[in-house]
This record gives sequence, C-alpha cells and structure tokens, in this order.
Amino acid sequence: MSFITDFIEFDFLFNSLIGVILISLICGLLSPLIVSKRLAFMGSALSHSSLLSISLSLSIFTLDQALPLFTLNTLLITLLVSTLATFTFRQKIPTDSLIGIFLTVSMALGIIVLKLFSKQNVDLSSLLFGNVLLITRTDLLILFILLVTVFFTLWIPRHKWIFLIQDEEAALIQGVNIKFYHYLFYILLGVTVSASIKLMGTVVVNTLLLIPGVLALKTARSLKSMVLISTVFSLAFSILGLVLGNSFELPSGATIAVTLFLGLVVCVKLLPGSGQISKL
Amino acid sequence: MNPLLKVEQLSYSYLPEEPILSKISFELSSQKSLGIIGPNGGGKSTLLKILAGLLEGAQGEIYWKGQRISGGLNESARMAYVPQKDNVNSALPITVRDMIAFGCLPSKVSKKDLNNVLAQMGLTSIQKKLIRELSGGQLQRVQLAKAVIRKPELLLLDEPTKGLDSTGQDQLLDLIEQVIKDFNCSVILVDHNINQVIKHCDQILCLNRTHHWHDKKEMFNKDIMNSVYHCEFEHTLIHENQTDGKLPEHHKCTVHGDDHDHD
Repeated sequence: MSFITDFIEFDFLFNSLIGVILISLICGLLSPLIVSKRLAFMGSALSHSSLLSISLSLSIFTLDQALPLFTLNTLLITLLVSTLATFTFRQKIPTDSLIGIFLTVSMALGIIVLKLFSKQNVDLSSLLFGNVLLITRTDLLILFILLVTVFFTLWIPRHKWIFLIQDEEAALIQGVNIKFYHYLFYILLGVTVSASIKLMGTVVVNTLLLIPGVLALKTARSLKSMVLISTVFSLAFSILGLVLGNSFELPSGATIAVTLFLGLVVCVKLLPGSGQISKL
Repeated sequence: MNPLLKVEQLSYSYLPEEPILSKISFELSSQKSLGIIGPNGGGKSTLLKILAGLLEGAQGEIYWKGQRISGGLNESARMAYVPQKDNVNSALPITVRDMIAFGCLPSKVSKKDLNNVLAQMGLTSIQKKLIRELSGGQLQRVQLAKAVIRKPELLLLDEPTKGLDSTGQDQLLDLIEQVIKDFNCSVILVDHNINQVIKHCDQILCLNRTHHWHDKKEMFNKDIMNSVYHCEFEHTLIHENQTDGKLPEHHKCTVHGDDHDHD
C-alpha cells in the first residue's frame, strides 16, 4: 500500500496529487467545449506554443519563483493566444495551416530560447511531460483560483456558450458579443496551460483538454451529464495515472496521458452511446 | 397603412468594383410571405444577412413599420433569423426541447409556451431526442421552432428546404404557412426551388445581383424569370403567355436602378 501512503508521507507527492485533482477538474470543464467547438488542433497549438512563453519566462525567473514565473508566462501566453484568436475569428478560409505553422514555429523558438537564455538548467522533457517535483503551494493556490474562475466563467453565461457553439450567427443576432467570448475562451485556455505546465507539461495538458471531452460528447445524453462525465473521468484517470506512475516509478505526466487514453478506450466499450463518434 | 418592412435602393458590395446587390427595392406586409429566388451567387443570402444585421456597410434605406432604421433589423425589430441547417453544430448532447428553450435568450421560456410550440411544430414525440439524432427535415422544424418561440414579427429563413426531398419541402413550406397564421408573423425565405416558392409564398423577389423583380406572385411569369436568370426555363409551373412577349409596366426588371423592357 506504500504507493498510496507515499502521497500522505511525502509533501511533494501530496502537492502533486492536489495539483492533479485541480488541473483535471479545470480541463474536465473546458474539454467538452474545445471538442464541440472543433478546436482540438487549436488547443494542441496553444498548449505547445506555451513552450515558447515558458522558455522566455525562464530566461528571467527560475522554476521555484512560482508567482512571478506564472505571471510572466501567463502574460506571454495571453499575447500568443490573442494573436491566434485574431487570426481565427470568423475566418472563411481554413485556419488549420496557420495553426500548424504557429504550433511548430513557437515550439522550435521555445527550444532555442530555452537552450540559449534559460537562467537554470531545465530538462526539456519536464516542460513537455511535467514533473511532480516542480509543483509548489503557490502553484496550488493559483490552480485553485483558476478552477473557481473557470467554473463561474462557464456556468454564469452557460446559455450564451451553448448558443455560440451551436450557431454563431444566431448568437450574434441575439446580441451575444461573440468576439468577447471568442477571446475569453482562448485566454481561459492560455491561462490553464500556463498554470498546468510545471506539473503536467505541454503534451499532457493537451491530452487532458481533449480526451475527457471526446468521451463526454460521445456518451452523454444531456448537458449536465456531459459536464459530469468529463470532469469525473478526467479526475479519476488522472489520479490513477499519477498513482500508477509513482508505484511503477514511471514519469507521472506520460503515465497520466496513457492512462487517460486507455480509460477512453475502456469507457467507450462499456458506456452506452458508441457509434456516435463520427458525428462529433 | 405602412408595410411591415420596406427596403429602398439597397446596394452592397464585398469588393468595391463588384456589386453583389444594386438598388434593390421591395416591401412586405404583415402576415405575408416573400420568397426570394434567383441563381447561385445572385445575392439572395447576402440580402437576408443584411436584413438580419450580419453584414454591415449596405447603402440604401430600410424601413420597419414606417420608421427608418440604420443597420439590420436585429436592433430595431422582433426578428428571428434561421440560417442554413449546415451552419448548426450538433456536437453538444442537447435535446430538442432544450434547444428550443435556449432559442429565447436572455429571457426564460415558460413551460406552457414551450409545450405549445413543440405541439404546433409536431415535435412533441421527439422532444427528448438529441439534435444529432434528427433527420434533415426534423432539424429544420426544430430550427423553426427555436425561432418562433421568441414570437417574432418577421422570420428570415435561409434555404429552409435545402437537402429535403420534394415531399419534405412541401411539408416544411406548409408548416411555414401555418406558422404565419398561428404566430401572426411575416416570413422572408430564400429558396432555389422556384415552383415551391411560387406555390407557397404571397410575393416574389426574383434576384440576380443587379437585376431584380418584385411583385405579387400572380404577376410573375416565365419572361420575367428568364430575363432575371439570363436563361430559358422549361419545367416551371408558372403561367407563360400572359404578356404576349410584351411586359406591362409593373413587370419591368430593374437593372442598376433603371427600368428596362426585356427583349
């Protein structure tokens, strides 16, 4: 049972467990929106572009300076996502190539900046797949505030979000400020990635932003059950991934990503609603 | 008595040197239907989007109950716009009932109103189905219900019969006629099926960019249609020999705002 008691005994593991719980709840809330808005590729570009913002931030601060690092990283990632949001707002031409270029160039620049200017020696794989040792109490506080913010930002104007996803033009006619919500959504994603990068890394955040939403949209029969399935699945399989990673001494982020995928496969087989994935 | 909607000399261009609409004029009375027909790229959907307030920068005048308004009707009138059904994202697990209820932003819909609309649109039996499980015809009826729950005075419908077979088209257009009576509203609809529009609408606007013709459907004939479409039609149900090749005054087509007779 040591693989469970470890989480109580060691502070860094306890912090990582709380961090995983908070991140999985945030991503569980956002994920159905990303998938239903057909922004999976954009989410991927956004999470990977955070490699550039975190590398730039690490040229000024170190990993243990949690608050200033988060603040600068969030500012930079907001700048990056605003650019992406501008280029993808009500475009008639396909934006996937632009997003693809954005993804690869920002990642490449991130690696170069990290190599040339980082104030401390940072392992690239930690930024891609996260590191349980990097999480601090300040990071947990930031994640908690973000969870509350994301919840209320989605819950209070929930009808507007639904309207926007279903039919942007009809929402516009009914007086919904679609530009505001377009940017707000991108910024929420940017801040989520920024707050999660130390524990989860860019790749695992991307997985958490997609897999729960795919399962929820595939199996849910109502909006309430969609949110419930997405958050419970995200929470359960992220914790399972963390525990498995610790017990088998595997990298936690990578184990969480694989566990989420296996969880998706199992749930798709077990839960009703199979055969609808092509309609998502 | 003022018409519900009057449009005068409306022009619009996506590119400065290529007008998609030039000096279009028409009017619509209360509880009447106007069918907009015309070839692809003729500006039908553009006109509808200008009226809905989705496109800005149009020149000309729009009057709502005699009052001149700037911009589209969305700011000044109780208007509902139903886009082409391809525009609807059905990924969310939302039921027919919830989707219609969400149509009424920001106010809440009463249960009674919702049940009435479901019944009038023939959707009661499928109210718990998810949107993504509906057929094309059912989805179009849901879209219509989502629009009428707001009790609009004017409904703008962009190709409501798109993708439906002829029976489905007939059923939907019959339903739209019923909506006009039950909800006391007017309808402007864009459609490619000329015969269906002539059969179901009170007035016609035949539109092809800078050419347009507008009057009661009884006045519409093949000569007018051939002239606006710039081609010959063989299989339409409209009358042919009303004019003996010579158009009376109200049958003239407008090109760039100038009247001209057809050869």
